[in-house]
Amino acid sequence: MLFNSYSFIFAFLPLALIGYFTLNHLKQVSLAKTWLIAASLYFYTFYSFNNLPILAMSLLMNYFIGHSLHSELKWISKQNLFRFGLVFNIGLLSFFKYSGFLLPLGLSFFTLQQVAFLIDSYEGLAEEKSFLDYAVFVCFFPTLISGPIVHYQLLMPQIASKDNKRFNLDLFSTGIFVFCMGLVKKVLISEAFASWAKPGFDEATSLDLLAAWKTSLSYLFQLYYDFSGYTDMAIGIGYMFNVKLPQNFNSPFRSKSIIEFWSRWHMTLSQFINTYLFTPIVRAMPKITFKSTMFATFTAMFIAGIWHGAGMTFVVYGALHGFALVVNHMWKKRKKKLPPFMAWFLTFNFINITFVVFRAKDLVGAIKVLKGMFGFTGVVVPKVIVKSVGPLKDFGFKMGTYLQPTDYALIFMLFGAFYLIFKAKSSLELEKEFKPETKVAVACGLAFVFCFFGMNRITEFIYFNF
Amino acid sequence: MRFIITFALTSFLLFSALYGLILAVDPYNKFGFNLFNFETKAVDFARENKFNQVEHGQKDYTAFIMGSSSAHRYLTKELNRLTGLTSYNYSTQSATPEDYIAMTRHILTKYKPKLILIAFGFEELSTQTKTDDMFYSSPLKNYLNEVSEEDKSTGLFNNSYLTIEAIADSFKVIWVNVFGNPLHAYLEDGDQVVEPLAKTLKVTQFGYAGFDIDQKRVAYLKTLRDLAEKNNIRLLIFTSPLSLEHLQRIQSDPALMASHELFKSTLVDIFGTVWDFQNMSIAPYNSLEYFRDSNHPTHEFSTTVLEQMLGKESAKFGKLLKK
Repeated sequence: MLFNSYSFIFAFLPLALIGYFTLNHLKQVSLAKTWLIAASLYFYTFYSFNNLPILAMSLLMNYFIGHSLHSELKWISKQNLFRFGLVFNIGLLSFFKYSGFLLPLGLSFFTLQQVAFLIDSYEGLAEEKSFLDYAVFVCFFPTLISGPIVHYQLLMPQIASKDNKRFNLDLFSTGIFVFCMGLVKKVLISEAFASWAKPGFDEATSLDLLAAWKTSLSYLFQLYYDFSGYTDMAIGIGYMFNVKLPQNFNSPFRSKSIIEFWSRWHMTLSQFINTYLFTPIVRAMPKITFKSTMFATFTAMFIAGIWHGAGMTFVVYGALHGFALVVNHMWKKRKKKLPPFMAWFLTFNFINITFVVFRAKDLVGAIKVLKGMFGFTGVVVPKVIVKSVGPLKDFGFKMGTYLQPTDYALIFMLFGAFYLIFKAKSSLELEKEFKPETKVAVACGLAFVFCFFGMNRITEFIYFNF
Repeated sequence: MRFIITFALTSFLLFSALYGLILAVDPYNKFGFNLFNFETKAVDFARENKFNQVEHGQKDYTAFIMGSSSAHRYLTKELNRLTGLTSYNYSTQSATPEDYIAMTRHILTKYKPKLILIAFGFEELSTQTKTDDMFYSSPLKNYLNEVSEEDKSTGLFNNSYLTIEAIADSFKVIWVNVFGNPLHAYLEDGDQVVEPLAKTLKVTQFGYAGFDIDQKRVAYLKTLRDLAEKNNIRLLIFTSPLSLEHLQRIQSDPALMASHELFKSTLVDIFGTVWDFQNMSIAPYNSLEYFRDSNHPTHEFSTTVLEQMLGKESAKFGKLLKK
């Protein structure tokens, strides 16, 4: 089920909330949790039941292993059981990611969440005795399909808290506000950019300079507003259930270095990589040196790249980011600083270029767009800018047609997107500053209605594919 | 609490205002409202327009194309070229078998057709798809013979109007009628004005849920088949091409896929032979050159479909389904 669908907003969500809080109000805590699990499974299987066995198997196996890690075992050592758990999760993920089978919805996310739980359990940081609670942790529908990746220690105390079992008007209002922000990002902004990104990547056989930049920037903003919109909606729904979920984005395009970018983009994945990939790799090294940490950095980013899929595009994407992080650390070590604008410009364009590789169907498709971006396929100048290209013809300039209304809309949207990046407050800031004032309620109402009219089409989230 | 009440009230009022505006303008002519007496709409009064063209036609038409909006772009000059007949495009938006039987009866009062082509959309046989309100407010309804009260009653909510495009088109209709030069959308012989290629392919959503074959429509189609047989009319039945995205959407859901197969087999049961263009052979044509959106082929692609069925050229797509 999609957050941006009528059935979710007007039927599923109200019923899930009413059932959950009513049962809690009647002191039927276990029933309330069961209701939440049932609702989450309905949400998960709304389009197809095919994925349910995988989720169920992963859930049962990880619960069994996590539970056993805190029991006295004679038939296997804890270390071996833990290793088996890791192999099981990585094996499951790898099998579906790289064998060509249809990837079960949300597999990457609920697997990572459970891997984190297993590691924390093994290290004595987390323990779950109740299967019901564990199922709530894994299946909680706001985070089930595309994150944010939540730690057991963050989610479950909130679910268990007595205060959080009562419907909270203030948190519900915050939830509406954050949900509406996400809805606007997804329905009004990301969808608009999607219509400009797709033809360039999927249909055009070659792109001139302007068309290539139009395509790459459109995808950059489509992806960002799609994923951060989804996260905002998930966080908003979390608030409605009195649960504060972690943020996933913090104005990533304001970053002035790649290191900073990864602390602002898909933050819960970055934290996972840092805690459960980078740190163990460094620890496994015989000696911790700058070189060994750089090796760990590159390896962790490379793995993060191929976590997205088996294609060569993801291999190259991960390698490029790993390489860039190493270069960034080396630069930092020298204590040299670039002027802020130059630092931002380099970072932003590096991200833009690598997302071309990330989005393209294959490397040939990526090269098609990149060739255009670097001017190898000439420049088509719209008639509205000049009447003739004159001597520039010798440099590959051609005359194009007049700008279409959609081109003006794109220019407007690009200016709007850059404005939001640099001048407007981020979702995180707005969420922190939120006050349930009348003007905010009116703004939310206006945004909601326009999104309502924009929801009448199929619009899945990009990260459903990972 | 004030926040939530204000939010709900603002949403309700703004929604009512916008939807009220859309209803009043009725840009796609879904309800036949014309509160402001506008000369033209974003989508013109196809049934009335075409009914009148057929009624007062100066040519001796011997071939007709029927279907919903997905059949708008089959050009009559191409059909004339391929068949040697004189053709008319009688397709109207949101058409269902009620239209086809009424149109056939209407045609037979004026002409001696030799060929009728009907392009079927997936949703047309479903009980979930209500007969278009505009059918009942058009002169065609007089050719259906039986119109039940149940068929006439559809609510004031229409999926096409719950879109941002409908808001924009309502304002466009107002602008064109008040400040512009209103034009009719249909040309001679029922052809549609050639539009520029679309910029992006939209996958539109339909109410496929709970797909049950409407037996009344099956009966209409059987009547149409018998009528054609009696009058020596060749019927060429085909499923209207769907884009790959739309097909993949259907195939990702086993229940939907079963409904899709049922739709096709029902047509085969009635007519014996059906050209099927709603299958994966469409893949090489999945671009904006061939589709305006997920279920509206372009003029160029419509011609290719005609060529495939009429045997003048062998394109590598489509499948001939037989009983």
